[in-house]
Amino acid sequence: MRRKDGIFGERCVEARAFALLLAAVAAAMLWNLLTGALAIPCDAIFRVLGSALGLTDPAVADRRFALVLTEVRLPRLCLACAVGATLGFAGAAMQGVLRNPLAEPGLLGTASGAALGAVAAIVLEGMLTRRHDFAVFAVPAAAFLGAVASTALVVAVARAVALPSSAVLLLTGIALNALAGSAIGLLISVANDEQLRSLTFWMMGSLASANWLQAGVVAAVGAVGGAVVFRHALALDATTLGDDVAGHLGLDAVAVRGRVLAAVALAVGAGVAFVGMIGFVGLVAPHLVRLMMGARHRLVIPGSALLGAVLVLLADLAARTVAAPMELPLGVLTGLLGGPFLLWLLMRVGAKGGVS
Amino acid sequence: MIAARGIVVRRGGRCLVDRVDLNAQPGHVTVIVGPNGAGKSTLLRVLSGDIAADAGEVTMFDRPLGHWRRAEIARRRAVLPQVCALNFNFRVKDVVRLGRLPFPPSAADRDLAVQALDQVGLSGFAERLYPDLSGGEQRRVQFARVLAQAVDAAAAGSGVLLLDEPTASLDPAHGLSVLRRARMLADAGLTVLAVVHDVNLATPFADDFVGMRDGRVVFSGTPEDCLTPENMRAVYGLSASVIRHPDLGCPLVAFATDDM
Repeated sequence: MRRKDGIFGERCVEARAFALLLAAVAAAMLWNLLTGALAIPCDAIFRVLGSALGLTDPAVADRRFALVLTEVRLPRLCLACAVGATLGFAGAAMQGVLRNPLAEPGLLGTASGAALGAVAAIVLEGMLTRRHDFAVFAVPAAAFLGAVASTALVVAVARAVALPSSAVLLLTGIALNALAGSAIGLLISVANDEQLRSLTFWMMGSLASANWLQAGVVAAVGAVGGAVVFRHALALDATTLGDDVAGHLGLDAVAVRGRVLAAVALAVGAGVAFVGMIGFVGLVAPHLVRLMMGARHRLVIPGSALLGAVLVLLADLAARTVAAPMELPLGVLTGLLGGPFLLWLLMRVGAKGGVS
Repeated sequence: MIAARGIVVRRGGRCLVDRVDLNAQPGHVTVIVGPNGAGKSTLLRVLSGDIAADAGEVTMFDRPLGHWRRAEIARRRAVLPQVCALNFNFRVKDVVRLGRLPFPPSAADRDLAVQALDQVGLSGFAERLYPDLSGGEQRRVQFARVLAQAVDAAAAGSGVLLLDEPTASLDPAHGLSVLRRARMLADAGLTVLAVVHDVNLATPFADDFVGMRDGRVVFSGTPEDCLTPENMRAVYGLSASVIRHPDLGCPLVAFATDDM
C-alpha cells in the first residue's frame, strides 16, 4: 500500500504533470517558430536547427528561413521563455515568502520600481541629451536599478519596523507602489508625445525588440535567481507555516526571506528591464501548478517556471499574430487572458471550497 | 531541562509576564494552567525563543538560549505553537515531514512521518490535503510534525518539548491520547512543558503544575500540592471542590457554578 502511493500514485501524478508542462513548452516553442509574417515549414525549422548545431549541411534554399529564425524568432523565443520562467518562479517564491497565495512579483514594488526607473530614463534622457543610442542602455539599466532599489527599500523599511512579518512587507510594498505610481504619473505629465509613446510601449510590455544579448542576460540572471530560490524550496515550505515555526525547525525566516527576495528582485528586474511590465503570469502560473501537483516548493518552483514560459510564449504569439502586421502590447494580452482565467479559477475553486 | 529566571515581558505599558521563575525537569511533564491572558503563552514563547524577554534569562540544559545555534536547538527541542495557519494545499505527509527539516535527509524520514501520523490517530491521512482537514485534525497533524521532530531527542533520552494548548479543539479521546504521548516522551527522558486549559485532563499525566495569573506564578509543585480549592480560587477566581478521581486516585477539580 505504502509503496503503491509512493511509486505509482503521487510520484506518477507529479511526473505526468511535469511531462505535460514540458510538452506544452515544446509545442508552444514550435508554434512560435512556425508562425509569423514568413510562414516557415516545420521541416525547414529542423533543417535549420540541425545545421546550426552542425548536425546537417546547410541547405541553400533555407537561407531565408535561417535568417528569420536565428535573427528574429529564436532570440525572441528565448527571451519569452526566460522572462516567462522568471516571472513564474518569482511568483511562486513571492507567494511562499509572503505566505499569501495572492502575492505576485509586483507586490513588493519590484515592477513599479522598474517602471519608475524606465520612465524616468525615457523622460529625463530627452531633457538631458539628444543622443538616442543612449536610451538603448539607459532604459534597461534604470529599470533594473529601480527594481532592485525598490525591493531593497521595502525589505529595509520592513526590517526597520523591527517586525519583519509578511504583513509589514506587504504594506510597505503597497506604500512604495503608490509612491512609484505617483512619480510615474508626474513624469508622464511632463513627457512629450514621442516619449509618451515609448513609455506606454514599455509599461505594457513587449518582446518586439528582442535580441540575443537580451535573451542571454535575462536567461543568465534568471537561472542564478532560480537556482537560489530552488535551493530554499524546503525552507519556503517551512516559512509558509509561519516565522515562529520556521524558527523552531532551525531556520532563520528573516534571512530566508531576504535571500529569496533578493534573488527574485534581481531576476525580475533583469526581465522587466528589457521587456517591460508583464502582469498576471507570476500570479496565475504558481496557482495552476499548485492545483496540478500540490504546494511543495520543490515542485512548484520548477513547475511555475515551465508554465510561466508557456504562458508568455502563447501571449507573445498572440501579440504578434492577432492584429498582424501590427503588434499588440504583450502585457495587455497577458492581462486579457489572465483576468478571465483567474475569475474562472476562483469560481471553480470556490465551488470546491478552498483557496489555492 | 529548561529554566527561566526573572522573566519579564512588557507590551504597551502592561506587564504580560512579571518576574517569572520556572524550572522544567527532564523526565517530567510540567503543566502551566491559568485563565486567559495570564501570560502562559507569552511565557512559552519566551522559552521557545520566539520573543525576547525584557528582563531575565532562559537556559536550556544550563546554556543560555542565545548561546545555542538555531539548527542545533531544533534538533534538541520541538515546539507546538498555539495557532498554525497554513493557506497552501500541502499534503498532510508534507507538513509532518517538515519536522525532519533540522536533520540530514534520510530514507527513514518517510516512515517516521507515517509513524507520527499513526501515533496521533491519523493513519491513512498522509495523502490528504491539509486545508481540507477539520480544525482538530489539523491540530493533530501539527502535533505529528512535532513528534517527527522529537524522534531523535527521544532516542537520545534528552530534549525539550514545548506544547502550547496541545489539546485545544480536540475531543476528550484525542486530547487524552496527545497527553499520553507527551507523557511517554517525558518517560523517555524529555523535558515536557505544556500549557493546558483543562486541569482535569492534564492531571493524570502531570508531574508538576504551574499556576499563573496576571503574569505571575501563583503556585507551583506537584498536582497534590497545587490542586487545592484555595489555589483554584487564586488563579481562576472560582470556588472549587477538589475530590479524588474514582479510578485514578489523582485530584479532580470540580468547579462550582455560583461565582459565574
